[in-house]
Amino acid sequence: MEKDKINYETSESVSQKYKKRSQLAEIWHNFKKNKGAVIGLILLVTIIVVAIIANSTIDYNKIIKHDVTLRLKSPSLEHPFGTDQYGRDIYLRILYGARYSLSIGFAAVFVSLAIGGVLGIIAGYYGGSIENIIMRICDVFSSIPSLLLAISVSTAFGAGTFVLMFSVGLVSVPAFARVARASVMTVVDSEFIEAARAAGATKSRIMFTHILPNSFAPIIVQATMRVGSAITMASSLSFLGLGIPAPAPEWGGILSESRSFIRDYSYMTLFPGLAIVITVLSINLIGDGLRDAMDPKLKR
Amino acid sequence: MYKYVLKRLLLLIPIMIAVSFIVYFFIDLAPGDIVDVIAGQQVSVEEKELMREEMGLNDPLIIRYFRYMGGLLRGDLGISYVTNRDVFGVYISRLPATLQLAIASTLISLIIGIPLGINASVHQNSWIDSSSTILGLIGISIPIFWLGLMMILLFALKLGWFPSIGNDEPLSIILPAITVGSGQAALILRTTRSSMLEVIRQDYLRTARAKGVAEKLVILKHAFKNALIPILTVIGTQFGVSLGGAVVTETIFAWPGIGRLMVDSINNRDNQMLTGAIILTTMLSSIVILMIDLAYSFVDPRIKARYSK
Repeated sequence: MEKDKINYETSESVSQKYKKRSQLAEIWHNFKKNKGAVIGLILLVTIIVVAIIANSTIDYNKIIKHDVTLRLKSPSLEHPFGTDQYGRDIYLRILYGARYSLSIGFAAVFVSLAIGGVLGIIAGYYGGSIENIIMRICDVFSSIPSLLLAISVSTAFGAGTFVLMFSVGLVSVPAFARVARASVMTVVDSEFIEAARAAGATKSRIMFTHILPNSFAPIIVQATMRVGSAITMASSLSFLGLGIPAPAPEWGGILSESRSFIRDYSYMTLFPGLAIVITVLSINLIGDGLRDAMDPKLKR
Repeated sequence: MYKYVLKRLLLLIPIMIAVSFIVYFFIDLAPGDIVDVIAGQQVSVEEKELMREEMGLNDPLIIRYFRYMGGLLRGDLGISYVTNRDVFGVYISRLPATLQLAIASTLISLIIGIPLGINASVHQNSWIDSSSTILGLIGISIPIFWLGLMMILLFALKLGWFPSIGNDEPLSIILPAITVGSGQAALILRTTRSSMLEVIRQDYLRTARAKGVAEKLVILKHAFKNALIPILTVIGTQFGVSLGGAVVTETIFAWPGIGRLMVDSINNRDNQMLTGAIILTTMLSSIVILMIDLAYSFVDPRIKARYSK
């Protein structure tokens, strides 16, 4: 009986049953199935919420104030992660410091996405000598080892939050330009682009409203994965003294200060590092999940 | 084929010129005046101006850059104004330590990364696969400097198995090499896995099995060999990067290589040394990456065929 019923379904109800999901819904559907990616997403959202709460409830002066009586206390109920050589609570510093790592990571990727993405789209759309010039410039920048490029830029403009965002962002520009160019090249000859051109759309309109949304998937995956490495690189630069100047509780900076105390007060080194690992790991989990969700070929 | 090699080598020259210009330009922007550093406070403004003129510091950037590049061609990158030592000479003297570390860490990453990656792809979606995937994810998520500090804490300070700093003892290289190598191993693991998954379902593997080729041979000879190109690319890039990218590790372990030289130069505001070190390292890593690139164009008949005409 069941079988017969299915046979009598109208075409309308069939199309409702197999309703075509939008691209976004399709990605979300695949993403949800990936346990690791969901865990990563929950972790990241938690970290972001904690960072926001910490920044609106904790007084910055409390974070940087020295208190000799509380020097180098081991972790306890009162100070879950202990205190540092100036008597500052490491737990509060790490909570407060989440904003630096997160904002630098996302801002750096925004910089590389904005510059690299636009360059890549232009290169892929126009081709010819414009493409050649853009891609050769990218070759030049990508042949400088990334940390060294970031060091050069930071040396030039001095330490600071914005310089850090820019220098870390600049490192990934060539990668984004290449990904964007490659994905533009796959759609640029399609009929719908030709149709848009025939309808009289301007070049920039074709590039940004017709091509860009259709080459989004690889760019988004690349962007997510790069947020993680941007956070790591920014904290490396801070560790080398080229990041956000003390006393700001940036995680790399906290780690750098803790180095001289590693022998006897190892908790000082342990916790800020774990904070970086968990944050970067959650982002990479999301990145992997997105990659698999957007590229069904890999699943098979 | 040789035409292709020659073409790639020639292409490297304009890139290197542009790279060195960018680095020179950036570090030239850095605040601070060399003359103030050398002369100190006692010297009058006129005398300082005279010194600037003598040292050619008043010339436009582009002229100073070409003078610098002329020196580079003769292996002369000037004298560091801070330490009074020959930049090129110091760089060369630091190179062996960095090379040692780069080779050791690459070896470690290969030994760990490739077998785990192959294993994961062969047992796709099993517990072996998922635990390797997690391992790989953790490996690329750990900041190298924190891993280094944890290594020192555990193996040098708590267990006392290895020396924590310097390179005086033969065992000294182990901790820094593992530190640099583990991140690379994670990358190689991930690349090996995904590259193997691309080839592992190909029909020619089924043919090989049907012919009765042993499973081990099918995986290692038929599949792995064809999955090798992306893996080689990652290895090459990683080796190139670790020539200059061991900056953080060398600092933590007080390893007397190029990375440490750069950090010392940053701290001493020794921009002459920093410029030279970054330019030379970039050249070195570009040459290494190009060599690997060319190497697999010799190994892979598909690529060879494309360029042999």
